[in-house]
Amino acid sequence: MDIKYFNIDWISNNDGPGKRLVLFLQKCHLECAWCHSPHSQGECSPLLFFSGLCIKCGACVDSCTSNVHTIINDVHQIERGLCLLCGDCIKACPSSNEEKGALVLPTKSVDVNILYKKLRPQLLMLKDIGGITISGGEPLLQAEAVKLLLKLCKQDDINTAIETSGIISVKNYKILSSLVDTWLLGFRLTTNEEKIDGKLLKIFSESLSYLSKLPNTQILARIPVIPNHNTFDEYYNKVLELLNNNNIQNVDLLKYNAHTSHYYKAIGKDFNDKELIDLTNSKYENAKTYFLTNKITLYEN
Amino acid sequence: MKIELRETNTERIGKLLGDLRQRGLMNRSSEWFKRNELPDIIKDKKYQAYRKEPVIIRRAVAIQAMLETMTNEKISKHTHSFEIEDGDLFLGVLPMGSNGLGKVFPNYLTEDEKRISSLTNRTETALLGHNTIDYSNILEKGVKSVIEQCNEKLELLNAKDAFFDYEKDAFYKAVKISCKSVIEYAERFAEKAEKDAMHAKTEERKNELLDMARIARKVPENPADTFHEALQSIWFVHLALHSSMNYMSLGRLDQILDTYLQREVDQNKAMELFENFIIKTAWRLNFTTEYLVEQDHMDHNAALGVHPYYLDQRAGMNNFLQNVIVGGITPDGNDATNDCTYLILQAFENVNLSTPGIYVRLGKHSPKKLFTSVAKSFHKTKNLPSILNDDVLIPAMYNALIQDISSNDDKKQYHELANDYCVDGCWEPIFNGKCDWTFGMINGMTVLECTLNGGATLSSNPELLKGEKLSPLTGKITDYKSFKEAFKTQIQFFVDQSAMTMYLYYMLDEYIIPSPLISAFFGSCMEKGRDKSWNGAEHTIGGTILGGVPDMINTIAAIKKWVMDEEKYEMDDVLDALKYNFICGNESDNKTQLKYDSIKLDFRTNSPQFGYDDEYTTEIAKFILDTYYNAVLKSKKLADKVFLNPPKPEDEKEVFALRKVAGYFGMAMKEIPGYEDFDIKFTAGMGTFEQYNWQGVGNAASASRDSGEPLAPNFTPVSGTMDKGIANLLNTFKKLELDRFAAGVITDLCLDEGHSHIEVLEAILHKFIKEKGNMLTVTIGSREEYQTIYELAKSTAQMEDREEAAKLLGKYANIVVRVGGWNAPFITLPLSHMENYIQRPAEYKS
Repeated sequence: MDIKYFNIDWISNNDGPGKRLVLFLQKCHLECAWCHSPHSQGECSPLLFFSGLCIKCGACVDSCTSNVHTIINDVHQIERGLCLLCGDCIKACPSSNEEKGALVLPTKSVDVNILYKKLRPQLLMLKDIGGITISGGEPLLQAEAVKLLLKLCKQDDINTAIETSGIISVKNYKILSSLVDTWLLGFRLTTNEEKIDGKLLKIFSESLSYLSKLPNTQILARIPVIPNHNTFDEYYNKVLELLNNNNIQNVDLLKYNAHTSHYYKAIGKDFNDKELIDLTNSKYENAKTYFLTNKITLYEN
Repeated sequence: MKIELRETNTERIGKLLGDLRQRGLMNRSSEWFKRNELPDIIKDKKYQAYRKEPVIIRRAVAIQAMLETMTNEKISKHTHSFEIEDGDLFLGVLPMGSNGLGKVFPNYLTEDEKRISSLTNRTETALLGHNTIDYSNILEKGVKSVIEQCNEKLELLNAKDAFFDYEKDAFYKAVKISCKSVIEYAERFAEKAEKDAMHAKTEERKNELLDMARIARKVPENPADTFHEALQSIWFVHLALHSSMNYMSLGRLDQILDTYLQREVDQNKAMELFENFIIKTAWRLNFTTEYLVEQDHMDHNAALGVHPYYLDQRAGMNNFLQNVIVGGITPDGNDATNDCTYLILQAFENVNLSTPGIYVRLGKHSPKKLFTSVAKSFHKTKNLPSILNDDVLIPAMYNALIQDISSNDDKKQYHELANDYCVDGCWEPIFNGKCDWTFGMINGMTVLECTLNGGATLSSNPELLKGEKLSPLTGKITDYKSFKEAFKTQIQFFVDQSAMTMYLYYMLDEYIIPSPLISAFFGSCMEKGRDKSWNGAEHTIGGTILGGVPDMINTIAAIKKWVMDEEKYEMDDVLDALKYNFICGNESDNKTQLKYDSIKLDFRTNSPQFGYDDEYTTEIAKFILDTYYNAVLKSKKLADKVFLNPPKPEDEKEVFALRKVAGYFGMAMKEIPGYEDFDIKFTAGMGTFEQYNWQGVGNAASASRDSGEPLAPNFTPVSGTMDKGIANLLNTFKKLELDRFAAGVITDLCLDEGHSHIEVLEAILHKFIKEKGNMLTVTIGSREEYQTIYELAKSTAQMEDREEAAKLLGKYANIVVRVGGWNAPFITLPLSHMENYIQRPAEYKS
């Protein structure tokens, strides 16, 4: 069975307990305003173009049969509507290889066994100080493939974690529950408006309630602190209620990732994150105070 | 040891470090001894009695003369060699000199000896070293025991005897002169300390100086009793060796010093002594490159090993071939980690200087705590220590030793020797204090060029037609099989050329650069009455080191993929593209240029690369390593047949003819009196030392580099390609069976700052040991920081105020990186090395 991923962090300090290898799976059914991997949302990432690495040699222009690339007056333009994701331009680009460079098609579909062979040495190295985290996109959308991968990990006694939105039906979690040591659960109770969305809340509560009752399983509650989205009192109250109902005493407050615009630029999407940035850090401090005064501790890795 | 070791510097150490940094940033050229200040054993009247003496005696007298000059009050006004630094707890000062800048030493060779040595690569200033001293004997019995032994031996030798062995006579006399000169040097410093004590600023310092004088009157002549005495004794002998051209390494100091440490009540005081000791050995450092030309004392014969070859002098300006080795196992096979192991590691961590080098022997026997201490030191110092894998190097050394030992022999002594292995001043493994070492280097990329191009380099010089002819004609490469066949022939040729000369070069040393001061403490020299250069050492290793292997693998992989598997390009077109550096000389020939562009592109960005543990490159790597290793074994067989062993009667004619072809007209070495048990063990290794830049200069373009660009350092993936998990590289090692390579295979990891978590570094270490890597160095840094310093170095090069320029860069003096064979302050690197470093840090995303 194949698994579809778009990135591997070989060692990360911020994605679960200890030092972990993070596998980022393609596809997500949500579109969070603060998503820092917008290219992960679809079935397959569009062509990424990092203009800073382009030497404007024109090799991509010549190689492309669909006329996606033009370089006029030293400006490299990409007509994405025409792109067939064939990868010919990457092969032709002297500043890119299969993995990185000016032009990248990050999404790869690989047999789970083959992928595991590639990850295994690093996982065995990190075994005593961390493990694997499967992130995304939304990994639960590939639950069957993830299950195979986690089984392989468990044969090697690797600690496993999954980062998920919680906004997916419980039956998906059931497929994986016996193979996961830690759930990194992103609390996302709003759509892209500044109010709690009842429908989301319902699915999320069910997932949380299911996961928090699993034996020998740790829940890591990750709360994004994004101005104009989820920094209002009603939101915090709701989060607190969910935490208390499910006996969770610890949260990881996540600030907006300041490098988010990087990938939006690379996929040619306009993106303005002015209203997402917590310039004075005051929203973050407020959130901190709120949870601390309500006897919830802050997560430290 | 129960107490916590101090992790900060004491006031004394802080002051001494500050003094050294300040001095290193200034112009040190005036500290060098001038040639006319040094005696000449041949020309000076004072020494006329020695003019006709054997060279070993003249050399001993030169050692004595050098040590005397170093304590000359008048000369010391500019050399500062007869001074006691305020706060310093050790007496004796090393004269300026380094692997890259050269050394000064009194002449002891006659005019004729010098002229005839123009046929070789040896003179009186030829660089020696590449060995370790086992200091345990000196500490236990004192240098006086060696002198007593000389006296006893000399008494038995009678010049009137019909069988008088004048060579032994000369040997013991020379050893005696050299040993005495060290004791006398110590005494002169004792006097100096007593004098200085009278003007000491404080009572405390006065007492310190008086105690130092007491110690210097006791050691190295007599056995040491305390930790301070032991270190001072080692320091005097080390200093005397380094002052007399013998850049000897320090060996397994934790094994030697632990007994003395256990007698100390105050462990932190002991650590301060060791920190002080490190600073003393580092006192020759230059922290600026501003004043190097004035300090260049290198002559035409600054050769290492068997070929005259040129050093990257600037990269080697702060290399002194001095290493400390800790950890490992004892000769009888038990884990050797002791309290002193941790004390020495902590002292190195606290002082964090680029010299001496510190190597930790780790293996499955090592305690977990030692792994943690090493990881902590990586984290703090960003470059110390370096790692030797016992699980790989002990079997490699053992197998090298028993190459031609019959199976019935008692192997216990060989196990003990292998268990006690050391590395010399760079990283070549040797048997501790018992083993002479010589070596030859081969540039693997030249071998590859000659393989691809039928015995000629890929030179674009039209006058050379097909290229520079270096090796046998092996014909065109038509497929992977024919490539493999040609490579076997070519590598054998280059290995033979290098390795076979080792016996011949070994025989030179005794007549030009005998080493009586080393021999006094080395192997079986004293027992045999033979100099180290004359089969006095118990064992001799001749290492062959192959450089550029990661570049070879990448280039072969690209050719195999695009020419042989995919058949996208013709071999001839690829060879032309490499030869002409992907530039078609004919501007109107657009078609060829497009082809070259396409080849370059596919080779550079669309080909498999070494370091990712893929089957494609691993197969190629294994083929190169197997072929090379076997070539070295084959070389040994022929060299032994021609030079070493007396031939069987039926082979005599053939062997005599072969010797003559090699320019040797003598008898088999084992037939020479004193050489009966001689043997050079041939070992193979892989690395470049600091030469990766220079080696690359002579090579055509290849898969990962343009023509003339640096090769990959040592056995490390090409700079900038370490981006798919460190473990994938480490995982490759086991498959390559690196435990065959007794001359060492060293990988220089450069990790991005993000890796700098003790747990991560410890995990990398465990993995490296488990996957049977051979040797490892770790440098932690960031591209941004290296880039900043590089830009500053470039801009300060244009400044008029040179002192100010040195000061600006001096702010970064504590950033130390690995440069192939040793560590060096980043600010002292040539710009080309800095450029290479900017590409290196393996990424860490977080």
